[in-house]
Amino acid sequence: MSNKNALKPAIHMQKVCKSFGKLAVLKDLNFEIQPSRKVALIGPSGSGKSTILRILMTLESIDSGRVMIDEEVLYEVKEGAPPPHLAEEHVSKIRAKVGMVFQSFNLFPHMSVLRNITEAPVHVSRISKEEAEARALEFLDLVGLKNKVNAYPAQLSGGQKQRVAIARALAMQPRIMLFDEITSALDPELAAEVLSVLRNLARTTDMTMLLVTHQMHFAQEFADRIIFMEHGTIVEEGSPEKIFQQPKEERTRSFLKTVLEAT
Amino acid sequence: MKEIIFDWAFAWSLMPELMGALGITVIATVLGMALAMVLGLFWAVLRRSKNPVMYWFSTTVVEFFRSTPLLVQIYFLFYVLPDVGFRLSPLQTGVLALGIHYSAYLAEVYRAGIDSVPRGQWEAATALNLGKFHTFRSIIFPQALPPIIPAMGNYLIAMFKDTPMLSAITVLELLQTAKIMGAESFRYIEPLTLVGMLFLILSLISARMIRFLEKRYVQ
Repeated sequence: MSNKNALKPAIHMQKVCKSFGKLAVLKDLNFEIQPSRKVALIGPSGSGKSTILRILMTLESIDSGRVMIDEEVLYEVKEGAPPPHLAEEHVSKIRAKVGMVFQSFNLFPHMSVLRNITEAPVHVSRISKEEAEARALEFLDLVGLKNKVNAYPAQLSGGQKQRVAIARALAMQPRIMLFDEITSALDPELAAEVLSVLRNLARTTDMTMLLVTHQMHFAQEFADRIIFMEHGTIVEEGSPEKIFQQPKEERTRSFLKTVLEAT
Repeated sequence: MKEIIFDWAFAWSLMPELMGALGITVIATVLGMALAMVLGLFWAVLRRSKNPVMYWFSTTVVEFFRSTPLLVQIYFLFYVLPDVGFRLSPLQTGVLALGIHYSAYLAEVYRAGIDSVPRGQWEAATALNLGKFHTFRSIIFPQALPPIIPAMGNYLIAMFKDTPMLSAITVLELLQTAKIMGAESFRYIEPLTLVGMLFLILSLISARMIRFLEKRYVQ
């Protein structure tokens, strides 16, 4: 009882099930993540990793189970019962604690870099335009793109777009950041600049970070905990040393063997 | 037997009155298009609604106005609206009919434009906690508009060419004016030729303007 953090997980999923049509993507999933932890989700394509992030970001609902963020219920669905109608204010309040960066960047193409970053702080957090712009410049500096403040997304490289997307998510000051295969659409050298931004971020903030990646080396150095998933269930989890050096499960071993040989 | 096929002097004498009528035609088109753009967006948004009543209402309205002739709608509004207490001038009735009729087509155009915006744009907006209305107005709509400029332009020209139907309800637009001129002078060739030429010139100018907008905004 002395360790308060251990009792208050930032993310808590209990018995979460989710299917798309007949395809069960998440099967009775249980896990919790303590605040400030950096967690990497790894596993083969279609194992449900991205679905977890999308549920936490309220982009997907769940079929049954319970999802809590900072001890507040985001979703709670009894098995077989119709999904309860969630008040938009409630969802919005919890959603404010979470930020997400996407594989395909999803910058707003008709807005400048600055406007991409200030749009939500001004219209959602209701801070003044001047303050939002000052803050946007700080975050742009953090991702090394202060000189691109007036550029439009079409004028940026993929790596730069993704760094702007990171700055945009940070500008909402979330407690939890979700990264969904954020380097998968990038060439290796562009991926490297994004990963270096991420590495810095992991070291310097106390945000809870959840990362879905296919880059095992990065997962290993970034995360303090690795979750290996397959077919919608967690096969094994533990420290990077444990998962990468002495995985217990045969399935983890064979997955790591395949992907590490490939790279 | 000597007969002047095309009397230029007579044609010239008709021009002032025809230009006035052209003004009415342009006004009817511009106002009708403005109404169609607003109403069309309204139907398109309603059709995206998760509420089944709103969805079916807008779908029915759109299908109804697309599947019945414009001329019938014009007559209907002209003769029925006064019966239910709406007193509108013929021009107002005509603008209303054109606007409603074309709003049904524009609803489909808007829908195509909105659907062309990648889903990731909605998702990014949700992730930033932007509200639905703000997301639509500031993120989705500005991206949905440029790709539909050509289709919008086609409907603008189509509507312009449909304005002679308003002659059926005594609006003094180009065709009605030309018919009156013909009846008064027993010469139809000059007024009708001029009407055709005016339509041609204005259609070509509009098409050029639309091409310009397209080049400028469609990437």
